[in-house]
Amino acid sequence: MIETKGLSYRYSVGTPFEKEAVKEVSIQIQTGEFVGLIGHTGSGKSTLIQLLNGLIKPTSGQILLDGKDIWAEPKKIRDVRFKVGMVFQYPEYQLFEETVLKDIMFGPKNMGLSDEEAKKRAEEAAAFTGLKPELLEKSPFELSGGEKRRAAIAGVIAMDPEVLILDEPTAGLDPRGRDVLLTQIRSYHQQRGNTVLLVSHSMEDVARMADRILVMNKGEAQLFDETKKVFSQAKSLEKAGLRVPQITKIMQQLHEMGLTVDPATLTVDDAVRQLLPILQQGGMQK
Amino acid sequence: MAFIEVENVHFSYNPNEINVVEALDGVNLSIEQGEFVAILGHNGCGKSTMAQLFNGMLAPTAGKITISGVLTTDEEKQFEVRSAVGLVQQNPDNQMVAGIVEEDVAFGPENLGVPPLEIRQRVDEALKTVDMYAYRTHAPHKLSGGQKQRVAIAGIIAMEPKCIVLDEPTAMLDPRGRTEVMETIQKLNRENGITIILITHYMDEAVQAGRVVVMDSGHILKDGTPKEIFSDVPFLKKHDLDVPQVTELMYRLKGAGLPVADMPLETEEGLRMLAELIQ
Repeated sequence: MIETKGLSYRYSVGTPFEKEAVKEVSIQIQTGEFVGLIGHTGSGKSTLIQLLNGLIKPTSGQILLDGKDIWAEPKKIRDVRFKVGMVFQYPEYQLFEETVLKDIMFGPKNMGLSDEEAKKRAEEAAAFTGLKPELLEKSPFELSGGEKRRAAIAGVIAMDPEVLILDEPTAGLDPRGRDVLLTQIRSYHQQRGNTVLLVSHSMEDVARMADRILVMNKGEAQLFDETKKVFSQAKSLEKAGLRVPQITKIMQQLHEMGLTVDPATLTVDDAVRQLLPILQQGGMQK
Repeated sequence: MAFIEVENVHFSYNPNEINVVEALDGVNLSIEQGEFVAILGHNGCGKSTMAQLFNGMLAPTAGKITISGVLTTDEEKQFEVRSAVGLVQQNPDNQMVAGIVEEDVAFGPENLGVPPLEIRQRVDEALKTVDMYAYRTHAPHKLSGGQKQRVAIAGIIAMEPKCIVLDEPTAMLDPRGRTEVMETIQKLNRENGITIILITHYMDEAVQAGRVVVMDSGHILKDGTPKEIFSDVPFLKKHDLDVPQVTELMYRLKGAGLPVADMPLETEEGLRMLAELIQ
């Protein structure tokens, strides 16, 4: 479990640019949960994830990983970064090794694993992200954009982190690439049972993936609840510069018109399932 | 002759190798002044290559492109072509060159040799157009993604282009930033008569255009109004593209035998159609 207690972070302390990016955030994420993190630019979500994996140190408050303050022993912060793996935005720009395989092995080897073990981990991770085995011996620069993205994600998965944080993993991918990658992240989550934190600007993506959603606004955790509950609060989301998925908006309006449908419907599949019987009967069901 | 003419254009990133990969394979396209065209296609279909060919950043391997009759490959007229067709790219951070917003916007016209007084006017005008005038003395790196992208667009407008090509300008933005940029694009097209070529993966953005061009494997597959393009849901799915959720919903309801005549593109339209079905 990962937990924060009164977590705050200030940038540029003591300068005119001092800014409190994260304010008094207290949340608990259980092991094995899939959490979506949303918020507009400047809402504090990037700062929050950097705090969670120990890249920056809180100004005040605590981050507890399995009950232990990650900064209790600052010298051991490296271990925290292995346990809380982070895939940055546009991670494909960070590939650097001669071959894709070596690049994916870099993390596990850094953790002190043997070549053999690191290779096994890398191959498994590559399979998880849908990277074809024949690509592993190629130079990362020979891969397409989507393949590079997979290789970079595999590099983090190969460390087998307890918590996997993905910052906008689908940005710039086409609809098909986005679907495939999200499906793979989901099956990774289901098979390994790790905690996943997905940061996304796409409400449609988090709506269909996450168990719970954390909404950041002005540095604060404005909402942290089950996905359906969060998306049934359209007004609160709009105040935070966000919106609900188009299908949710439609179902909300139909609900207001008096139709017996779920106003927090999150996917087209679910909407079709609800609407078909109503429409086929050809009448309004009050 | 149309404003932009693309005639049988081929492009390859490795024309001298044995296994030539054609990024564009004989593309023909005419775009009139004042049009708003969206180009759709999955990654690697040739869209971004097209974007860079329009303003002469890349030269066709075969075929030709003209802007108001001027060849994009005409070296003597390179400035003319690049100032007629401005390019806005995906990542706003890669497009900022100065430490202050107004200096960033002035960079383009300065390079074109515009006199200082006129630069001042153009910069102010451009920043007002994208609604960023209040931020003219701010540092670009402190702005939000949507604001940065609007500053990048102002930098292009200050060069007084006839056409702006935007290559996935909202891919890195949050929902609010996306709306801001799309509203700016609409305004430039409607009020300033600037031709817009928008390359995007977002179907809800493509439906705002007057015309949609679908590409795959270096070819143009379809060219029509958003209605025409998005009515053919199986075609789009076959080419790894998406449709807006409202379109998908009505398409599935139609597939289940309900009398749906037309495919809606926007929420309101879909709700109206659903209301009719209910009655």
